[in-house]
Amino acid sequence: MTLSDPSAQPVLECRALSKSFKGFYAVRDVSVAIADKSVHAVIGPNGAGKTTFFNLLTKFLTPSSGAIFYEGRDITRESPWSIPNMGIIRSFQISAVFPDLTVLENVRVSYQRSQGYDYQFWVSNRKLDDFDDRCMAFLKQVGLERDAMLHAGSLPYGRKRALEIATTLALSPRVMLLDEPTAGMGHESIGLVTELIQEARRDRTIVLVEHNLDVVKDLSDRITVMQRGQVLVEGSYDAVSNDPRVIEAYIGGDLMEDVGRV
Amino acid sequence: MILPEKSRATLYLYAALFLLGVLAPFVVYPMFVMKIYVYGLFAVAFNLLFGFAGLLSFGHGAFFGTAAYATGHAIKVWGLTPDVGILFGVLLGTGLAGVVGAFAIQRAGIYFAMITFALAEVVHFIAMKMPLTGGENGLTQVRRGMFLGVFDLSVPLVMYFVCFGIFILAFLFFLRIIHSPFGLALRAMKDGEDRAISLGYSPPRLKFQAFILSGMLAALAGSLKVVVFEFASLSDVHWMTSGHVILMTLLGGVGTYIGPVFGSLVVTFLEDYLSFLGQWVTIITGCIFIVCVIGFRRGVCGEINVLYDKLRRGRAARQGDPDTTRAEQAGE
Repeated sequence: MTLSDPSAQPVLECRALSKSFKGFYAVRDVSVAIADKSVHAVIGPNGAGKTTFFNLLTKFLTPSSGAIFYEGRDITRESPWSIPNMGIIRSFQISAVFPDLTVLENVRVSYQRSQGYDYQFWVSNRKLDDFDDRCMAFLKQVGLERDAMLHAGSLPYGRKRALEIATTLALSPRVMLLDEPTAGMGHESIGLVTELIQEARRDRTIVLVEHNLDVVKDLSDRITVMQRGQVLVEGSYDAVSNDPRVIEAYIGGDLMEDVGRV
Repeated sequence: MILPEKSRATLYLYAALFLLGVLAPFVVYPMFVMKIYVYGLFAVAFNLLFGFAGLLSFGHGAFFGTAAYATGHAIKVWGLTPDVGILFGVLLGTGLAGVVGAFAIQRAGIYFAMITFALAEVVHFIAMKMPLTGGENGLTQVRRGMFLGVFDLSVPLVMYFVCFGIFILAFLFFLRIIHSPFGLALRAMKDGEDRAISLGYSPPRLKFQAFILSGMLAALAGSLKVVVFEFASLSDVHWMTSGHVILMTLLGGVGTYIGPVFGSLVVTFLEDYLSFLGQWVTIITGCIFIVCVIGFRRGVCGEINVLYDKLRRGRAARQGDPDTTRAEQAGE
């Protein structure tokens, strides 16, 4: 596990980020710097504001105050569809594939985007059929090459997640934001997804919001613990898991159950 | 992208339909077949928006009717040739679609439908009050003239084949849109808007573009209508026309390719061949609509598609084709 140089400019950074819903602060004054090519986990009990924080980072929500920087550039006011083009790609908590498209089309719609084909209605798909070879390679990477012609909606849950990762890889993002990638998964599938993340982390930055400490322990360089919308502690896994504030904050909480399982 | 066997079957189907289209005017009344093309094209336009972008427009009659008036006016009053007249109508209809679309795509679902409906009502009102539309009397006696300087449209068969040709070109254009990077992105957005955003697609842009393209094809249908029938009237911009096109599309199959044309055939047939029943036609059409919505929701062509897939899978399973069998097991 390599701890990145703290003096280097963070790839993604938020400063004093807050989001309030009618006076209730779901996220309050959160400042996090994510080092380049690191895996940064955000954990916390239910209601800690992890998902809101995640949606702020991915621009699906607009912050009430504070700012977000990507490679030193202010992206606070960008639209959610413009940041994927800068190299930031998110995943969803509930597996998000296009169910009515085939598995291959799922990857293709993503890959064509990275090749600059998006809104052209006059270009024939047949001219772009060599995209299929590249897309098949991405599918092979996650073990889905035999399912290419199936409708994505018919895949079992674990395979949907694998497909989602394949479509994300097809965009070759610099930063991947994963929202509880192992939510609702059995033990076997968790192993598969962890492997995929290990594979994907080479040459890129990964931010993951997680509930499952097993996954975080093996993967993360740095962990931010959130509680009631604020940052409680930040540090390495060992530092965070032994921190008395964390232990105190989670006494009786579900995080302790997770720790107990480890 | 499509399974080769299926695309071959589709090719045979299109070839057969083309032959049918060539022979049709010698067997049935050409005006009847042209009416199928005009409303079929209109339904194809509507289907592009509803079936592929998931946007239910309740005001497509506005683009159809505006283009009909514009083309009719250009030919009758300005004395332009039908080709230029059609071009003018399509431009005006597309421009209107741009304005309506810019407002409508701000909202989704029922609100989208209501905005298109409201703006179409405005267009209807303007058409009623403007002197150059002829008000209640409509714009009549629009002479067809010479198309591209060579085709004399006053000859029924020439008119038929020009209409047939325009219809085919427009349909090919529709197929190109569907089988383009844009078409794939559009289907993806319809399937999961948030996911499409996360890949870097802008839903407002996809929707707006789909709206304009759909409005353009609807306008072409309207322009074609005034050339074929030699008149445009208030009913072309009326909400009934917008409702009619929804009916045709649902009947033929939303999200299919040729389905809406089939829907147009059924509705046109009922109107023309059962016209002796008078008002009862509306009731019969209504009943068919109800049966369609309850009984076979995918529409006629949608159901045929599903049936074809089942048959093919069944056959493949018997022959032991591993890939298709796998698809079947996972599929249903």
